[in-house]
Amino acid sequence: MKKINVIIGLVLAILLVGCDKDYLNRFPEDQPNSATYFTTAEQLNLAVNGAYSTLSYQQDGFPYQMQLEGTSDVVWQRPTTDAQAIGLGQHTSNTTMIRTIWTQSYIGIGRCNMLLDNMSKAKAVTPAAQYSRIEGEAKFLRAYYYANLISLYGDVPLVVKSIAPEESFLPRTSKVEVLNFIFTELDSAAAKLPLSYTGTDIGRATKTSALALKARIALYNSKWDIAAAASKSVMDLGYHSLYPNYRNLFMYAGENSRESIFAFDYKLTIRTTATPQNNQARNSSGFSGLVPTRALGDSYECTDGMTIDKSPLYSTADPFKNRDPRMRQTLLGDRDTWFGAGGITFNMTFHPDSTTCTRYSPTFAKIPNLEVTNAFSSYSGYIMKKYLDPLDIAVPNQSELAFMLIRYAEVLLTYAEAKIELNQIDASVLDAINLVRARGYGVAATQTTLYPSIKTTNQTELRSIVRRERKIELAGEGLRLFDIRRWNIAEKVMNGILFGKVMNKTIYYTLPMPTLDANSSPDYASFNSLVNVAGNFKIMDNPRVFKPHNYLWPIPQAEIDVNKNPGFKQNTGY
Amino acid sequence: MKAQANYTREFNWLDVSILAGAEQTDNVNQSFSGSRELTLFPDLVQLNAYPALNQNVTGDASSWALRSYYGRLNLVASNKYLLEVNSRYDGSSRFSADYKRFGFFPSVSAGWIMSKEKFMSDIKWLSLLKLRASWGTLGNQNVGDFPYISSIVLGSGVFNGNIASVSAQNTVANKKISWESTEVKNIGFNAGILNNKLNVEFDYYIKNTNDILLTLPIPLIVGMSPGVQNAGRVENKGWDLQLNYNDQIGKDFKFGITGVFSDVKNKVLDLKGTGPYISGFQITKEGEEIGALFGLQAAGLFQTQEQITTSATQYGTVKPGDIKYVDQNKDGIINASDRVIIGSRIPRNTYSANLFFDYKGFDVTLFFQGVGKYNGLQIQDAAWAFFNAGSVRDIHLGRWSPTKTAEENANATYPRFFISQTNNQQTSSYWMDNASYIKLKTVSIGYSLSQSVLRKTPFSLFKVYLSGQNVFSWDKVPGYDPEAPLGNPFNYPQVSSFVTGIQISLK
Repeated sequence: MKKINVIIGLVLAILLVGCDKDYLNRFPEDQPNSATYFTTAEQLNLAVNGAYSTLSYQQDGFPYQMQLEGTSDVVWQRPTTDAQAIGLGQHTSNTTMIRTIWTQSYIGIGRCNMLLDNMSKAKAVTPAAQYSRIEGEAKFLRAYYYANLISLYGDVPLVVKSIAPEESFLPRTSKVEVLNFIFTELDSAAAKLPLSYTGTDIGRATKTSALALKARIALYNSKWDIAAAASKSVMDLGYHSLYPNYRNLFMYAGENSRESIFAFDYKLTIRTTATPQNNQARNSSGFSGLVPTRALGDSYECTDGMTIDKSPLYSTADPFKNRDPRMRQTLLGDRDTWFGAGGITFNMTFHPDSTTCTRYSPTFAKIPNLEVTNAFSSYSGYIMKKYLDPLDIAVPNQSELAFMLIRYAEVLLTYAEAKIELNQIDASVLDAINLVRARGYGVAATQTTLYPSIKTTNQTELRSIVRRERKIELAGEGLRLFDIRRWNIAEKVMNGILFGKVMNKTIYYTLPMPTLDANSSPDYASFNSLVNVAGNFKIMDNPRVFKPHNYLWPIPQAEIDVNKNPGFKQNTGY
Repeated sequence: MKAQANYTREFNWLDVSILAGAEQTDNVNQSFSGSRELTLFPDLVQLNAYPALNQNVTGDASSWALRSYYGRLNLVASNKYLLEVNSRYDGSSRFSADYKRFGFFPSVSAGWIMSKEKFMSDIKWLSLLKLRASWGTLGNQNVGDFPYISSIVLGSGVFNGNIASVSAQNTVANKKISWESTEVKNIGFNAGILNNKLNVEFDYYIKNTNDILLTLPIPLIVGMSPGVQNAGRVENKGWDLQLNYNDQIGKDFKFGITGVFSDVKNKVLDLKGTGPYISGFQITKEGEEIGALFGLQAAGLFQTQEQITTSATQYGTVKPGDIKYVDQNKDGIINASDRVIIGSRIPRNTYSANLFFDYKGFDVTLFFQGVGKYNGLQIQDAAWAFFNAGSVRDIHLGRWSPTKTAEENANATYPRFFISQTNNQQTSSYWMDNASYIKLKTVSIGYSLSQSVLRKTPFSLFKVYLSGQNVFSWDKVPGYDPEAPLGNPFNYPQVSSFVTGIQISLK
């Protein structure tokens, strides 16, 4: 009996447990399976949306493109971040920012590749216009990521389809080959993308996004004819125009204007930036972390169109007087009226004696001036006004202000520079530059009595003018690093001591004059005797170092350590 | 769900027991949450009383399942000779049915109670001596619920102020993964001495883990995070010794001490030809420990400019007072190729001791724990002065400084002060510490009223006590807990706590 019971028990047990063959097949209930994905139009849409997410990421609280300015000569970052280290020439293959940009770019490329490889599965069930648009977006985004990679690192592996880890030990492809790939992709994307969108699709890449990016990357690589043609296509389409107010362009009022060609937007609960908190004045709940340099301030022309070392209108006692209006619209400095914490407006000053400053509203009063009393206020005596809006003053670490990645002013200046380098100087070139200059004065380009318009057709003079225009028009937007590299002026502007605001009141209004060269880079040799006296100036970097091998960033060490391809080598000097 | 059958039979000198069974386990995890904020009426607690602005709803579910078949045979002969044979056949939902979903894990162990043998009966001081040996295997599927399924992650993005849904595959999926198996060979003995006042237990083991499921780094150009792979074999050879002595002096004084000592040597045997894998401060490579500390070897500080010019080129601008590194490959440049294994994150020679004393209702218990050989490595906020606008500490007084004498500088314990100095901020043995320690982990002092006193009270137990946790640490690390995580930990340290109280039971 016992034996039979045992056997019955065992048999029952095995039967009970053995039926239900699918018991061990479990799948996630909140994530679709990639084997069955890319089969509906909606899924293609979601996948291409995913490829946008890596366009920008927060580096120390704000878009990394803004941080890139901190590695150039126009902006400086005070906290000990990677941008500061790169500016000092102390970056290595282990620097986090260098690795993150590389990684995020390839994640974006991987998402585009996976979509482009698989989207044909849904071709039959997707409306033709939508299918074409999604394909255009994926090609544009992939080209954008590669454009960024070659500009920063040089030769990079060219990955054009989804790869498994075992197949990923690829060598570095030459920059020229990747550039040609980018051009082909952007041509294809421009053909597939519409000129504009309506409703919830606004914000996606457009035809002009692809053409403007093509113009930019061609300019960066001295392909003047391609740059001129692509930028001219954007201008001829007639869709974009400059926003009439330069200051408002970088505020909520100017979001999604006709000047914005491609932007990255933010929204509460999804993603926000801490740009106001990082950049704002101390009196405005900010940390003054990323600040414009003296070199940027000294580059703005006077209202007579001459640089400060040549114009009689310039006065060291009041540097903001008689200057290109864009100086006041970009740089917050002395004798400015600014908005502060709690919705006040106040008079801005960095003079060492002004431990209090004047508050204008809500009532007239004297308030403590944190710009002078706080040890970590702006070291340079300037604050970058771009992307600072009074609407963000209450919650400065959660700004929703969209960041423009490409805008029309850049396209006009790209056109001008390309044509100048080709020596095909005509009225269209002067018009392009004058449109940008006139907008700075808040007038139309035709009102030539109201702003210093450009009339010369001399190639050398125009080259100098357009380079100066780029420096001041696009300051703080993440493009300066690429300009100082391609013009081969990085060693001149990035080496040496970086000094900022005046700390000694006896010399505050009587500074010497710098001399500006053909690229509008100020030479501060006349300041040397003053700078060497401790306590005269706030010293920011001593010194910045830029060696010839720094024209490229190193490949991240994490990639070198894992990539087994013997042909995969690090950039020289790292 | 489990079904099991059991058979036992006693013969003359042999006890037999057989067990067979099957079981399946199913784990389902479901969560749902909804929230709203900022009501005008705090007394009302329902969601509808709160405004819908910024309302938040999330929900998720996941599951895993196991199905196993197992059997065991147990033989005891003459109450002295023991043999046990086990086997398991386990299947997991975490591995693909198209690959190896099931794994077979047998084990066998034998024991000999030597003290029961006739030839041992004269040794009166040895009350128990049992020798044992075993060999066994076990499976591990601790990898997360869906490692072989390539899933698409959903999320949200923004276009011109409008929220849009986004999707992406973030992790590489690997179908070819299966059970990790651990094989343990063990010999040891238990002994009871002096009427079991002293107990000894000793084991020596060799534990090999095969097909370890690891997330090994992959090239960044793949554009996804790595998935898990069955990657290799690791060997752990070690021993454990436990000594326990309990005794009593007179009627009132009882005491006992338990000491546990152990050590283990870890070695990576095989990484299937892949690797070495470098991640942060640590490297995993064949022939070395898992996660050994990997960095530059420091050779003190530069004292003079001349030393700098005659040494290999280091990082950035180097001045006297900066860290000097060893140029391992003698190529004149200090870079990533000069990194070597500098330390270990596997505690060696670990020990603990538990002491207790009891005298007339007054009892004291102390618990010590220690590690003989261990390395810590702290950087950034934890070690460097002025980092990230931070402050400076006493330990930085020993810094190299141009205002000190050459003799003081030769014994400097910190480089010259730096804010952002890539040379001194490299991972190196300079920032590595000897993290061996002894800690007094628990102290407990109590007094209980005796039963004769309690007889006339309504209490059956009345005890007053004071106890402390993490009371004291004897270690050599400068200002942080030797058990702290590696690098720059932004977490709370362990806390010391003291509790005092009264414990009573009523009759």
